[in-house]
Amino acid sequence: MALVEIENVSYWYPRQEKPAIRDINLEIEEGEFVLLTGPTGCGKTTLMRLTNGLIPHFHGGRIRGRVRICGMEAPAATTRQLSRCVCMVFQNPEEQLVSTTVEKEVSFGLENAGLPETLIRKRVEEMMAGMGISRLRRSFIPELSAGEAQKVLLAAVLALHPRILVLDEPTSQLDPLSAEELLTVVRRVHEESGTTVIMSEHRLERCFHHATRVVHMERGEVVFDGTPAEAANWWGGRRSFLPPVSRMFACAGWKKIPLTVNEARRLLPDAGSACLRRWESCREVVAGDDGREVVAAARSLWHVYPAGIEALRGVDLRLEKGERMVVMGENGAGKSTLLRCLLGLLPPTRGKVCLFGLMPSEERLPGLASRLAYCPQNPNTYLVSPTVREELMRTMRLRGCQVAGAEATVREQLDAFGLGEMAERNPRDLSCGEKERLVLACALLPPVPELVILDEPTRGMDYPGKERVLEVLRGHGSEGCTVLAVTHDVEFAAALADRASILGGGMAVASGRAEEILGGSLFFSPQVNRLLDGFFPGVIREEEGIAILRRMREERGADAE
Amino acid sequence: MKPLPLYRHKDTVFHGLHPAIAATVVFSLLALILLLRHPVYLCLAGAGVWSLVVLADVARETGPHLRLGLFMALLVVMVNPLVNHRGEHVLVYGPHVPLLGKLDITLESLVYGSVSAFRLLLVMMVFGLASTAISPDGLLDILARISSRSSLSAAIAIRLYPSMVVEAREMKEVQLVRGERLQGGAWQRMRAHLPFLAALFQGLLDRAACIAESMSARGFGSGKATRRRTPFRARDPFFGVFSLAGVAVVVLMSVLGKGDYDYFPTLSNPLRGLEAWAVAALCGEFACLAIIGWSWKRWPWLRSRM
Repeated sequence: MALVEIENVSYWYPRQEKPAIRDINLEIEEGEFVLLTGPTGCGKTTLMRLTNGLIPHFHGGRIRGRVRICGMEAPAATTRQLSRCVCMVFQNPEEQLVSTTVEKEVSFGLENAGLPETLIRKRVEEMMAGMGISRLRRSFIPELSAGEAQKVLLAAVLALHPRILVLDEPTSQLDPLSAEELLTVVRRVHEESGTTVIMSEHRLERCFHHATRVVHMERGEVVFDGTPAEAANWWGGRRSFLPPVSRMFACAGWKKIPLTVNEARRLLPDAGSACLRRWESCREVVAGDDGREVVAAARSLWHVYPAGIEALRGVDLRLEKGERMVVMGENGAGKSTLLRCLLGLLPPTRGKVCLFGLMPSEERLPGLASRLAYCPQNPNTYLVSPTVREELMRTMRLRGCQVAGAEATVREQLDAFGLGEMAERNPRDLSCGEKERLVLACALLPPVPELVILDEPTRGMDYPGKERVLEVLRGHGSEGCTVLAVTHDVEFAAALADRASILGGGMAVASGRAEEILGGSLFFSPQVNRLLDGFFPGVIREEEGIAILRRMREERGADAE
Repeated sequence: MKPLPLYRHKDTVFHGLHPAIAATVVFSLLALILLLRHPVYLCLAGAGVWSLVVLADVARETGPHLRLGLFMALLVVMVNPLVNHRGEHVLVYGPHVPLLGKLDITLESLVYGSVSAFRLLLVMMVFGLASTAISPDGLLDILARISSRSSLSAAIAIRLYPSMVVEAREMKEVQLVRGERLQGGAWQRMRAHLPFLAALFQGLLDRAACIAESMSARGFGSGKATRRRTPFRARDPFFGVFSLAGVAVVVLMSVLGKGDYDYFPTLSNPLRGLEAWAVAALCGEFACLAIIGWSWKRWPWLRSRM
């Protein structure tokens, strides 16, 4: 029996003329793992809200068509009935946690369901033990890391034993390790209890192989519905939505498109050694230029918070003009603290920090506005103007740019970042990915600053958005703009960086050329590296991977077809 | 980043109390501070507040409350002698100011101001103790039995407060990097901060809407909910009876006018109005607290029995 039946459904949010989703027809059977894909703003979240009754129960609006969930007509069913069979985890854990302690949070839904107290206690214990969060039982929720918070939420919804689990970009805020852990739990729940999973995610490399079915949406409509293998072939013309490993094979012209690194490696074995020598001989090695100007540096940097937490322990960092550097590491490794120390927002407890040759401080920051741009992790802290256009104008004003010609510059920048149609919208009404793009558009307004510091720039951003940002950053890099990015997005890091550093426990545990640092690792390597490691060590960029695969295909001829 | 002065569970006897009992203990202290005016009783109340702060191991967490309390107390000490000219012992003869009259500073008004300031400081410390050592979830559970809507509003407010503080701090930093000049005079700072305040509150409203959506998705408000009861332990009646007895004694003394002290027109003898049994009882109660706190850490057997 289909657990979710959606027939000819269109939905309009309150006071909206245009429907968010149009003529959707979808049936989801028990035990399926459905991956929802599509560009930002295509209606994925709306569809998910429809599957758990938040639409129309919470959001109101106008709905046309028929929605049945677990045999109940969704508009007629009560939220209690719906919440017992379908549960949802949203993108940002910070915006979903209701209680102040973990135990209370896990029991929240159970209490609302009116279950007996003894059963609540049993389920709370079961879920906390199962998810490995028992040690956090009495932790103060605002102090949990993003990974821990998302696990707590998952425990809180799974405690209700739902038949359908809906996940809206659940890993977008997590480091690779936490994301892997969370998805492992989701897969376990799906496999061991037969729970139906409906998940939307932009980082497809993390979850594409878990799915049994892929539904792709564009402009509020379902444009593809099939198995992941069928999706990989169908996406030939829309390669942006393929996971990197599949995309590389598609771009290299291979007929068979693998979905995972494991599948892909099975296609390679003999071909590797044959073209390795030729590859090595033609590979371009860019030598470092030792005489370049140092834009920012930290020497033996320590920072200890008043509570006694040693966030940074002797970190060394040197950022030269024109360099693109990424800093990675798990949540709480000290990455954001490092950025704040470099900017002068936090004083070093020990060690030295230098920014444009000076010791940075809060007093000096306004004077550096035209030379320095910073994109924070939370775009809401950046966006304060009433419209998107005014936000860019404000940036121009703060940088002391001429008003004449500012309007044209702003328009061009909005178009470059795909925000042209949103110029008069309130920045707060944009999706997470769109907000990130707007912040980047402000930061990279011409004349581009000498140093751009990015804290998690691709959070909630779709593949086309990321590609656009990469293109802009690379373009500016060639003009001498220095980029320092803190990110959990391994694929983005590999595509952007010349140099990389991995922080762990407040220390720089590895630093060097991006190829060395991001290569040969299980969690901090991009898919191209995991695919070609052993054959072509140090390859981390997709273009290189595509070139190799293309050559292999040519050498193998019909075999590769 | 400074940790916010909010509740975090600790392994102390005070954190182990049932929230209702912990609230009763705090309430009894508040009654002592607000109903008795005698400086000796207030000093004893101070000792009581401090012993509870130590017992709950929240001395560092209540630091911000102490600092704010000291600031307010200082204001009271400075302002009171200027507006209160009663008392016979004039220390400084001041000028005549229209509306305020003659600004003489008397010994009595200075002492009265200092004792009032001390009282204010103690009240602040009690609130600090309550906000850092009593589980808000536990209290809200109790409140929810009376009014679930009020409990919900309080829960969202408690949940949003730390987020708001963190976001405000981050917003200020980000705007500084963008080139906003947030330093300078009060007027300039206020003008510079205005756009952020609007954005901050808008963000808070958005966040509250998201939390409400999450609550709705988990079946909140869809029928009668189960209220989990925090079980009472052996220690709870002990603390509860002590506190309620304390409240009863304080109310009785206040009604009988036993805890009063005359500051005007001249300071009366500090020993007058003191009840030996009351002083002994308060000293005994606070000594008990100290002993319990000490033995909680050192005697696992006693701890298991409590």
